[in-house]
Amino acid sequence: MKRSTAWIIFAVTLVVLGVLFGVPLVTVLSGGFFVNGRFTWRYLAGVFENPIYAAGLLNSLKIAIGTTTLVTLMALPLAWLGNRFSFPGQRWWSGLVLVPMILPPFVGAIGLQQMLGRYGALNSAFGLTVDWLSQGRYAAVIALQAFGLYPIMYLNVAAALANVDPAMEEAAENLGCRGWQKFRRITLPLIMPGVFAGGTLVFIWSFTELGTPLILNYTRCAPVQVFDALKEIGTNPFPYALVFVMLLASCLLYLGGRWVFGGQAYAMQSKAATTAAARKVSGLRGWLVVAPFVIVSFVALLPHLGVVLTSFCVPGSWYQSVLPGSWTTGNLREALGNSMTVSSIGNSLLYSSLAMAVNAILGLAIAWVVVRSELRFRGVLDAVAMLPLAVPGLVLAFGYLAISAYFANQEWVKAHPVWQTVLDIRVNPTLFLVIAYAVRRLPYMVRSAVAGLQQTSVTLEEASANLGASPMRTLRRITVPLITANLIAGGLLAFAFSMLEVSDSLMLAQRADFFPITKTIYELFQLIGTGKYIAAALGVWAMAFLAVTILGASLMLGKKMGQLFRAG
Amino acid sequence: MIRHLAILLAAGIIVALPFIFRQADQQTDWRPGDPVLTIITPHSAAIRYEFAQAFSAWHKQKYGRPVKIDWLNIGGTTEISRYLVSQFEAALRATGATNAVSVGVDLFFGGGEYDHQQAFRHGLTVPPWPDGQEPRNLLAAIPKTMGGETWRTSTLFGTALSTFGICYNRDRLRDLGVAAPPTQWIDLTAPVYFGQLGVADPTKSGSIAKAFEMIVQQQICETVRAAGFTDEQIDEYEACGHGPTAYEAAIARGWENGLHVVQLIGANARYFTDSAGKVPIDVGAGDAAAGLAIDFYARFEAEVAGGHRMVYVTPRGGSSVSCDPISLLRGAPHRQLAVRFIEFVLSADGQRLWNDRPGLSCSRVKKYALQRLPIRRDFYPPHPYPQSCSTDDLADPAIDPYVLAAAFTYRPRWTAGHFNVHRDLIRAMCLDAGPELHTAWAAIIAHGGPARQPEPMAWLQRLPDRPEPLTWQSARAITKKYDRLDYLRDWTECFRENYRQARERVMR
Repeated sequence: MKRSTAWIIFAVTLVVLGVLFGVPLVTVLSGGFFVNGRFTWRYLAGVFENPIYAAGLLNSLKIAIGTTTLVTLMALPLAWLGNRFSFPGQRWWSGLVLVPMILPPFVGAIGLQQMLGRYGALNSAFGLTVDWLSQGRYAAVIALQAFGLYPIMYLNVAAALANVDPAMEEAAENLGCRGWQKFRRITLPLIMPGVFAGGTLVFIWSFTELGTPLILNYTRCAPVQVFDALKEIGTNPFPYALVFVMLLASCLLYLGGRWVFGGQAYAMQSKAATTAAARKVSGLRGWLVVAPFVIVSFVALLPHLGVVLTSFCVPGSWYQSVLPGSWTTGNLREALGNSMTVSSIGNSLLYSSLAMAVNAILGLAIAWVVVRSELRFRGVLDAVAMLPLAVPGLVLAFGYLAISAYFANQEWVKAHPVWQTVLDIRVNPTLFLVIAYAVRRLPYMVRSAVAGLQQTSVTLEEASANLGASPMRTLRRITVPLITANLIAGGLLAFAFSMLEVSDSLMLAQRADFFPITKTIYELFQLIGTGKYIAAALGVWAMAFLAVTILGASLMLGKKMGQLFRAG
Repeated sequence: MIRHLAILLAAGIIVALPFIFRQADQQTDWRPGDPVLTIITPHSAAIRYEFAQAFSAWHKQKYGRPVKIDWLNIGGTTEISRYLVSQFEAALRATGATNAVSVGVDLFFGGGEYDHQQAFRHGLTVPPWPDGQEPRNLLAAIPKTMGGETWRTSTLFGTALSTFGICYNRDRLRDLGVAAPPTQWIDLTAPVYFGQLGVADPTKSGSIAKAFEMIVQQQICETVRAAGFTDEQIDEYEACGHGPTAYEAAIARGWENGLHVVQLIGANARYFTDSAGKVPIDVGAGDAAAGLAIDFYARFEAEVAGGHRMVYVTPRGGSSVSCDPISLLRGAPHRQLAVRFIEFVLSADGQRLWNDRPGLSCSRVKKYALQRLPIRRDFYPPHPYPQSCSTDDLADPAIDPYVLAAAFTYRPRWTAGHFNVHRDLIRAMCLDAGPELHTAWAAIIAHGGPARQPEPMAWLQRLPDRPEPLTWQSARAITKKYDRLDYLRDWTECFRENYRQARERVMR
């Protein structure tokens, strides 16, 4: 890449990130440093003076390390098995292991409670009285997070394996390197960009994850401490200083991880030009290969199963029993018949699709600079692109609200309905919701694209340039086709998680006409008494839709997706 | 090919389902050009739906035109408060004059009295009627204060009432071997409830913080009475703002006793949650044996559970009755309409929506039973509201909020000035030092319980001595004298150290 081109892309992406992410973030976080118009270190110092916050950060770090380790141990073998073997029902099992990532908000906890509660299905089935949700909270947080997050690692590693040039492994075998040694010395280094991409996403996610510790009431960790401080009544600058420290810690951890693990990328001249023939297994061997998929999927899908059963359960009838005592489709009819539902489905599709498109452009541009340029500060761009993962959704949402309020009070905005529609959240939140979704899901696309580019030899692009192709033509005809599997992986994650985005949706979509589906689930959940059942029903619809989208994408994209899931 | 078709068919069915099941919107005769009212609220979709329908019909009948309500929902009350303040400040920066400021919203409906008072202090809310021109007939049915709670001021008007009490799961209590179900706060301090209580978080809700204040008030009252002071003497001393030394000492002891009750409830808690609905759901499911919950959430959940599994009780003399207010926002774009909405909500027509049962010919609600308690005095004995239409028996003394409020005598001098102290203290004592508290309490229980471990219990219940020894008398001064970050840190560290000491002494 020409240095001047790299500088232009670097500058443009940094400015775009600065406007879309930096400005709202600084707007809010400055509240922790400027009190009554005067700068102060007081609150930042307060974070370090109180030992419970240091303990919170340390516990979060332990959770992140534990979760990432467990996720790697689960996802790596699964992705390898899916890549190397052809077994009965492979398409479905490969798709099924991705489903855990589409657990809808709010009702996911209810599903888990119905399965693992004291009078839940598991205890009822085996006559136990174990308090699963309260015992061994630290280990439970790690386990629960791992079973929710392993699809991220699986997708990235599957994409990386699909990119591996089989000639490299064949060459190794010809030289006598087989089995574990071949995996350790050849395959693993070649897929390291994918492992690193998945690993960093999982690590930062679990470091800053709020939902699981809250469900399990594990309070001494940084995200819960931030949440508690943010939700406290009254105005308090302290939580913003705490968010700043958490951001700084995430950034340092990411850069540290990148320094230790991220440098080991080996590009392949003939990446994925051919695919290694998967070994066909059937009978007992086939089932041995299928078994890990079945076990992991079953455990990971327990909350989903709980949500599905709750949605068909007569309110109050699933208690001290394995299955609901009586069944109904009334919850589904109530949920799908609600006046908010149809419009919220359309809204979610619109917001998430636009966000994914923004992500694809921005993510690819950032990845290109990070991998293909020699700019000294490209690591800064890489780290900044990861930061949205570490920012609590509430904080960014407050930032967007403040920016919208600023514009909404300008005379030139008030004077023109078009500007009001674009810039005033109270009139129409589409722009801010798309930005919020795109920014918060950007890391998935960046990591996937970076992994793809790292595995692709730059010589192919250089050859294109030597033959007179412009940078855009090279990008369109050479680069993008070579990393399509990675872009699809990143796009799927970005789309699915945008559809399930909570904090921004709750605060930015203020009128029913603009509610996305997560806000409608929240609204239904708020109905006292029967709310959880009706919300579960809409959650089931969302899960079914996303599951079909993933499988549909797999079928319609044919070979490219097949490479990803080894299902073609 | 068949696979492709199957997936497409499945996708088609899934996308079509919402359209198939879509229910026609309630018939409305509102047309563009008719009035629109903008209301920001944390109320649920059910409340919004019923009030929108009923107000439009009421307005059309009275003023000839239907009204559309444009509801703004941005989450819970905390988010609404922050949103309003940030919008207000942005508008103030743009206009420069407080009187010209508008946040583009007409009304703030729902949330707690604390949040509406805060909004007023920020200059966000204004009186709907000029001084002296209030609709006296309408307001006469709503007391200004009751049992220590404010129900009406010149800017905020209570619309519905709720109490804070105890809900429990009968099956769980039986499994735990609890013979007598809890009826008072102090019952929840028993070791048998360790890890079994769901507790609403007083640091995240003004209403819940107020409820915890009442727990302390009750303990002070009992301690003062136990010290030999009669109710008449208490009234007399409180009227003049002080009593004899023994009386003041009893108040201080009672305050500490109240904090100990709160502390042991915290020690027994599975969690402190900001979600008002979580506690009854967990108790209904049996994950928590009992919990501290808002009445209507618990009653609803008990009804869903079938009426035999879960029970809600309001501790007599230990719980005040709080209101869900409505306030007019400064610069309301549709001020006249907003005032009419307030009048409607406070009228008998509007009040009936809170407790009417849907499906009856006399009912004013169309679809949902809101199962809330109206605030108007004339809905309760001796002027009972038509019972046949209501979901709750409003004449039942266990439900009648006026009876419950009258059972509680609030003494402002005891705790009103300690409101913020309590919040911070509970945070340091039960949340920030929560893991150490649970560990110490578990050790005490495992070694015979509090009665056999007096020394560790003394350590557990010791109040902080940094930055200064904490007492009823010194508490307010400490929070004024020191920076909040500093005293919170000191208190947390003191409690953690005390809890560690308690555990160590048990283990010796």
